[in-house]
Amino acid sequence: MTTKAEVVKNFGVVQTEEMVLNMGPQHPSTHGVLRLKIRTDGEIVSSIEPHIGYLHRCFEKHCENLSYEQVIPFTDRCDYLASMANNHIYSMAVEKMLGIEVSEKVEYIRVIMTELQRIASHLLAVGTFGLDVGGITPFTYCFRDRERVLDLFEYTCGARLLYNYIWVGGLSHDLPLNFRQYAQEFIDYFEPKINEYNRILTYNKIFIERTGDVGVLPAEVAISYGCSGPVLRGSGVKWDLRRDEPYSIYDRFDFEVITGDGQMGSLGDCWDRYFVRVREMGESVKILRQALAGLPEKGDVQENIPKKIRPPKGEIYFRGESPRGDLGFYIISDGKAKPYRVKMRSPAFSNLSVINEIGAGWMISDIVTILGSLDIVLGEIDR
Amino acid sequence: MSGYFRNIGETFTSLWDGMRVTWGHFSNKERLNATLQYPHEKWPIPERHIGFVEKDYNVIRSRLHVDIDDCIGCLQCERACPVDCIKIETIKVPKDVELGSTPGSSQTSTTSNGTNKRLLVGRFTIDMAECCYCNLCVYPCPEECIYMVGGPNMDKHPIDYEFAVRDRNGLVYEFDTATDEEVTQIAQLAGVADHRAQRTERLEQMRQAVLAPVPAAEAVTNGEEPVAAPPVAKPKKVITEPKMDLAVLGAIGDRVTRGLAKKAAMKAVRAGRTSTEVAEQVKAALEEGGKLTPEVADIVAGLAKIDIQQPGGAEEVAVAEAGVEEVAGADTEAEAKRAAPEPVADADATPKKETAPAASGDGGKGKVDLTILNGIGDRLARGKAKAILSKVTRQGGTPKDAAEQIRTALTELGKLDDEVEAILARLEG
Ligand code: SF4
Ligand code: SF4
Repeated sequence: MTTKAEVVKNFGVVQTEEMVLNMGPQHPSTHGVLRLKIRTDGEIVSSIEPHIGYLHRCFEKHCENLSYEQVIPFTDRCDYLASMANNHIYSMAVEKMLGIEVSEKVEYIRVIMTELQRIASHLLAVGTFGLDVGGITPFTYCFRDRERVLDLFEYTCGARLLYNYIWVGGLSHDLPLNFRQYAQEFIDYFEPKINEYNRILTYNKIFIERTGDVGVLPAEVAISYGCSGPVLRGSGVKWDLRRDEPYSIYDRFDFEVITGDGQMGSLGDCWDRYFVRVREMGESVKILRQALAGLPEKGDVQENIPKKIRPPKGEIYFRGESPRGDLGFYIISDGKAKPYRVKMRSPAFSNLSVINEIGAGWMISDIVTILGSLDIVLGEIDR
Repeated sequence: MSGYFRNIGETFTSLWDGMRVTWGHFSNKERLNATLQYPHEKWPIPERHIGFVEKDYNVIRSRLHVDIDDCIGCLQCERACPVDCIKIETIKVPKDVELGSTPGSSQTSTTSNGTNKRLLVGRFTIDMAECCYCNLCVYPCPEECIYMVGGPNMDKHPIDYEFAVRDRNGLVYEFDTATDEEVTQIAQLAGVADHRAQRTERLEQMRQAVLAPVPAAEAVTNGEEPVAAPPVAKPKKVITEPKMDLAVLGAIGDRVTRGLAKKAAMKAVRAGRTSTEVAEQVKAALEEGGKLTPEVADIVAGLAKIDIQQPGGAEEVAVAEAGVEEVAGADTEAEAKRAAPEPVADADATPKKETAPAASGDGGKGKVDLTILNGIGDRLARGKAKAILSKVTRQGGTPKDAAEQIRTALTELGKLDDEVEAILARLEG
């Protein structure tokens, strides 16, 4: 909350020496292994330089040695909090290359899974953001509910975190018995819980003091840095690929694109970014309700899975809205069974790049808040 | 001023609200608690059967199980695996032989689907530590025999999710049931040279290549269950006559040299020589044949480390260390230098100065058999004991004198325990 100008105003002329401070790579608030090289002037941060690569696993290069279906388990491991979204978008990219259409039922199940995943991912973002600013309790509540989503996933495909569920041309499993009922139960249980988070965290005065008006990201800056997802929408830009470039069957659902409104300070502050996520969970519940109602009973989820995936020569860029923003896959095929090149456009990478812009001038403790509000996943940034 | 009080007021009301949520949960802890008191309480093992067809199989991904009797060795699963953690080796069964018809065979000739098995699966291992649980191997299997546990093979391998082991090698699951004899037999029938021996040799070569710069280190893996290459951990063969694992010699590149060396070694072993003597004889034979290059000498020296009788753990390591020293004695100056640091690592500097010249100077004659002392677990004690023994022997003392001196020295050090005492008794005897 305190800027240098204010410090100077309150304490007169302050003469300090610059100090370089390393935050991370082993730091609980860096959400993984990120190192921030922070130049501080007293308590005020003058510049931040993120150093990444600690989790680099050669995803893109490795893809060149794998067949198209074998890449899917590795996309899981990029953004490991939103594996379903990664599976979905990658599979759709390859399907576009092959010219495969998938059945209605598959599309519905994919949307259901991706939206459940969005809830799970946002729950983690919200919970750990609370943790970053010092609230421990909301985190446990968020995790409790996230577990229920993971239970649903486990029930569906046997895995809790890395699913390899959405395949090129279909799904690895059909929905289990009574899934519809369990999913319905979950969203009925979950919807009132959003209000609980609001009561315990969102409208907490201390939380607002820590996040409101902190790390303001103006819309133009966000756009010029290529931010996307809740980070961009928190700055008031109404941009959501599900709405603006509808893929899959998102055009059939009625939902709102949530944007920040500067309710607790100025537009684009940490609180706005946080609150966009909370409200997006509500929107996901809306989509889930509609999708569960429209989900066809019958249908083979594997009928369109190609025996051999050999896309024709060419390239494709396909993007979709992952919980963190625009996730894109650029794939070049040389007509062989393995991709010639796979490039992943990871939203968290672009979102992180803005940290110097919005973090400079704030106190060190605010950097933790700002970083938390960007909701980065290092698995995706480093790939 | 009003802002100040409003702030305080808002803080209290919002805190109060948050606290009400927390207390609500607190009083409801039976219904809403999120944690499980593992291991006192456990998550129920899922019983649901889901899959492409209902009741097809259960998809909890906890570990893989292979119904090896149904496996036809088609390698589809191996190919599907993105991390290459499935390793399968097969031998083609000759047309006129039916699998399982050979005496003592554990194999079945057909799968439960009725497919004829034309390949003997000599090795089927899955490294679950490497597996990424993607389930991709399950789908292509034509015989539906590889599954995450709880599939159709539920009764053969029930679902479990607790399979921690103390050693990473414990996560390499071996599913193959073919015995060594069987593999050898089928391989012979099929006209392939002994498959398993070839493989062991290849593995040994690889191990040699990796461990070549540190001759002593490999001894640890020798003889007993190999640690570096778990897949070959097969039932150990019972030794009935003096026998020696000559696979080390496989590392010799030149075929003629290798043949010569093996022949000489075999002869020596059959004549009941100790491993050190075997190594020496092989070396002599090669020298005669004009094939003794420094590399070959190195490899041959490795022979001295391999025990001929079935060894006990500690002693075996011991033999290896002694081997290095003795080789140093018999070999060139350069060799001696290379091997000399070994005792240094073992003990303080004094014994080294005494052993090394002794070894290289005497060149084999009046040499001390320090091997026996290697059973001493404590490094300092071992070093001291060795130093004394070699010194006493060089001065013409009997082992009894040496043992006496060692005893005194070790008592001073406070290192004389039962174990050492037993070894010293053996030295005297
Ligand atoms: S589950 Fe995946 S990683 Fe594991 S063995 Fe099967 S294919 Fe390989
Ligand atoms: S796919 Fe099935 S039958 Fe073929 S090798 Fe693997 S386990 Fe055996």
